[in-house]
Amino acid sequence: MKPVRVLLADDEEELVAALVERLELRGITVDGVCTCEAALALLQDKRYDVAVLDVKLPRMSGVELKKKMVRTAPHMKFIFITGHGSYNCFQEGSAEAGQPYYLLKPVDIDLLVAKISELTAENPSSDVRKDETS
Amino acid sequence: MTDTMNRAAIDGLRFFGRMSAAISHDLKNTLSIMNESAGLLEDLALLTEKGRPLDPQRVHQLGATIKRQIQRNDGMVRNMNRFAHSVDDPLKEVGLAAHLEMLLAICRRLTDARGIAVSVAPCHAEVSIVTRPFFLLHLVWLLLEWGMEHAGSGKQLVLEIEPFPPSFVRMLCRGLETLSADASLSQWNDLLSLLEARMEITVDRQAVAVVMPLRIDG
Repeated sequence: MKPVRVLLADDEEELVAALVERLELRGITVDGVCTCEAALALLQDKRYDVAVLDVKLPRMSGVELKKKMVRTAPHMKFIFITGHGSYNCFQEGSAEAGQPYYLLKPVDIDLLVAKISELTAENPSSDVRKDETS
Repeated sequence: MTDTMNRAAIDGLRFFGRMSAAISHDLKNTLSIMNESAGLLEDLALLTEKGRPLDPQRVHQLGATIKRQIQRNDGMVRNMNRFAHSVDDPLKEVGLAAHLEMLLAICRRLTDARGIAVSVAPCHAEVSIVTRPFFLLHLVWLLLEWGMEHAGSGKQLVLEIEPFPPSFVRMLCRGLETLSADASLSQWNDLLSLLEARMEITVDRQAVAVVMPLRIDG
């Protein structure tokens, strides 16, 4: 199975660290960053299948970041995560990523893995036990 | 005064909503970190059951992360509570620096999103004033929002409190690099009227100053 590569961007460092580790335990290769600038820099050197972006990032919104990323990597798929539950935010995020790919924090890890899987048409396990101990 | 108060109340409700949404976003973030940390603990426990050795240091680290987020959350809830109570009394004595610090903590996400660092300069002595606490917070937020447009390349705003004897205090918003002497400040007339305050532009200090009384008698 082709490994799925994910770029995760959220300004909460401890959230990024924990999510990266949890996704990697589920067989997904993840790079985590806390700024838009770092995300764009990584994109110059590496290829990713999916970006998981916080809608509200410092200096540049996740939606703006997505538009810049698409210019470099038009093949990429996107999932937005947000703590904001407002209708405007929902409209903005779901218009860019598609309604099913706009997730509210706290994110259900199994749902996130399922969405990554849908977008890549691959099937990484959402069960940590299968990947690590088989 | 009634019309002024009504307009300020309606605008104030919008401000209250915006700050409440900012707080809810911060709370969601701390909850998310706790959620992922707890989830990671569960993952590690499952892997241990399957025979993978568990590093006790990882458990300590995750426990510390959760504790840190609980403390952070507690600070947010305390600020939220103080902010909510700022509408209780028409007039109230407030410590000015602490009042401003509370606002900056609440709106930190909004200022960070703009890439602007905002702080309160250390004061030599705490200045307390009898004022309309909620309207003062609203005025300071509007000033910051406007100030972020004028922060220039420095991207730093500093709120500074100065005595203005005999019976006033001056709060400066400094760091307005692109400020011009003829900038219009009339948009804040309602709030200034309710706070019995006035605004002054001091281009040489790259600042807008709000001069307000130490005591509004109401």
